[in-house]
Amino acid sequence: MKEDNNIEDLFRSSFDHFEVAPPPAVKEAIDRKIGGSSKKGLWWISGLLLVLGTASFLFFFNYSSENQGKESSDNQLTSTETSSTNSDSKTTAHSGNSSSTHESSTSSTSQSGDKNALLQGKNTGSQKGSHSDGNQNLSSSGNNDKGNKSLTSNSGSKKTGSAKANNPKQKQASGKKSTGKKSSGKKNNSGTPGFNDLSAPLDLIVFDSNQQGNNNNNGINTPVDGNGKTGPKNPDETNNGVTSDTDPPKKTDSVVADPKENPITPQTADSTKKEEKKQPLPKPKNAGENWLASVYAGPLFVNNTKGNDEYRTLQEKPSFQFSAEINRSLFAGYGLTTGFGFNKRQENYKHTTIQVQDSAIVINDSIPIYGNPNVPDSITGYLDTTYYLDDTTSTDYIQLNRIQTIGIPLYFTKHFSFTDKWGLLVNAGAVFQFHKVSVGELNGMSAPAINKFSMNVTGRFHLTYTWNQWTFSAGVSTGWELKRAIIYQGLDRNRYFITPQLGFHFRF
Amino acid sequence: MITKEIEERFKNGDRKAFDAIYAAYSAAMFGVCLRYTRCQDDAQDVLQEAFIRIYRKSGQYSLDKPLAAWIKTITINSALTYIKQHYKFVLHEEDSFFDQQHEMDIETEDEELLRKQLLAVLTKLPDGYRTVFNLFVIENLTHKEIAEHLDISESTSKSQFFKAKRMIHQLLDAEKVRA
Repeated sequence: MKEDNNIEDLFRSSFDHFEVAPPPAVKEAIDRKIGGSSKKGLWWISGLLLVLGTASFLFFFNYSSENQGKESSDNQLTSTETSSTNSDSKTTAHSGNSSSTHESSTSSTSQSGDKNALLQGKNTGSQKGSHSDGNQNLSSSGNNDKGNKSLTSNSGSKKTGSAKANNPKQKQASGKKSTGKKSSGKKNNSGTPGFNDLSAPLDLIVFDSNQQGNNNNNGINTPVDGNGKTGPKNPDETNNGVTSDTDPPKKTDSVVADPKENPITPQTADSTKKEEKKQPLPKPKNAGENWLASVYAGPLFVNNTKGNDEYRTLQEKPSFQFSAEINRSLFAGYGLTTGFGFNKRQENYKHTTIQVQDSAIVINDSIPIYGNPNVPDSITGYLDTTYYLDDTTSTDYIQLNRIQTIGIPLYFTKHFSFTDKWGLLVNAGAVFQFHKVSVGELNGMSAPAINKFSMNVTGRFHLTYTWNQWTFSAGVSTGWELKRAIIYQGLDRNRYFITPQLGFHFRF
Repeated sequence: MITKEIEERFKNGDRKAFDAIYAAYSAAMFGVCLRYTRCQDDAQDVLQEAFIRIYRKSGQYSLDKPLAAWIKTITINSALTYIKQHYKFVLHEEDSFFDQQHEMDIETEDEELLRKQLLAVLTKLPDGYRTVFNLFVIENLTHKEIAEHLDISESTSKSQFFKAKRMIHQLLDAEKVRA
């Protein structure tokens, strides 16, 4: 008994602080298994950034397109306003000052606020906007008198023929405006088309920014050109309003002397422009119907491949997948899509354990060794051979796990239109998924590792039929689980899925 | 040194805190695993599974309890699970084992060597003997607790323990004879 206790004490004392450093491979294996979880924060952050980035992008495009729409409507409004309300003394004063195209543009831009200025960079193709912007800057500076003065001096300098001398004053005028260089550039630009071309900006939408830039390059001298003998390049401009009827220096002088004295000038111009202004504006490409609300539904089929163990199998039953998404068209049929999806599925994990009972039956045998196999009597010895007859038993362990998933897709979208009605909608991107997993009875198996957050790489191809604002589609969504949701011990799993889908879409 | 702050971060799933805990306790836990398994490879598997469980259950850790004991409990449970799953956990009731010859080189001069040799003795024991012996002698569990853990009767646990000791005696006596 004493000896027994000694043995117990011996083991107890020996293993009391028994430590053996494990090989580094163990830590590496642990890191591999829980590695996804350690970078959980990064996944969350990257996912969040992507979603936020997409939202910002969509918002930005939506905002700019709205403004573009507003701007074109502003242009329309201001044009109309010019024709009807040119009795405004300030606008006539400007027009008197410049005695050219500035007048009309000044009056037109007095209505549009900073938005036009903001949109200047975006709408380089829209000459309307740029014209009105330039004038707006002049009138909206709040220093109309000063502006007038600077313009007056400009025209005055034109009289003297020293265009260079005008520069500082014009700069001064523009410098008082918050828009700085842009305003001066716009101002110069505004001088180019001429007062009578109020409708011209509407038609000038097709002009590119280079033309606008060239107009800008005309710089301060533009009014001189518009009023001077060189005249505007467009012969029509010279026939309109003040510029066409007057000897530029004298006319401008008279107007500058008292801007309110000559209200007739813009009215005359307006009367010539009314018909042109009634031309319908081309609809901006991005204005309206750029959003597409979609609903997709269909069965989800999954193929789980495994590359490392024939004794572990995974079967996933077909399930139902639903998603509601919203798409924003950006340009040329390209867009971004996001939304949410839902799926509820279950999978069976089976582990077959093979038990080998070594040496269940052992047979010893002696095999004769022949010196010459052809001569039976030439036995030189015996070779003892032991046969182990193994008895193996296999046991199947099955685990049933249920998974509920909410996914947030983020797709790049392209819609190819074959005809007015038929097309192909292609989505490619990722789906960020959040899981709630109900692990079934373990049945002697280890519990799977669960990542609550996973990510799929997905492509979707739908044939579309459009009817008014509605679109119906049918196709497939397919992909691969890039970051795994459920990891089974010892199972190197790859999860591929395909979903035949129907889609219903509404464009607004 | 594992501070309370590290424990709190570990409880919140902080990976660096887990790494620190692994660095602090992996050697001791590997020793535990070696005692319960047949070989070093199996011990590595158990240690790996144990620390994966430790990481995944970090949220369940109660800060007012000693972390080392919590980790050791999970490690031992992992070892028992592994034994049940991978070893044919047969409780030997026959005495035929004691008739077998087991030769061990026992040296008591070097403590480290002695420990290694005792470990070798443990690995020579049948799985049931070794498990019960470990739980009773080193983990200080009662036979009732062992019976609950292994899902066996208390008397079986006692008999396994005594047979384990008998076999250890034989192994050690054989060495004495050799010496």
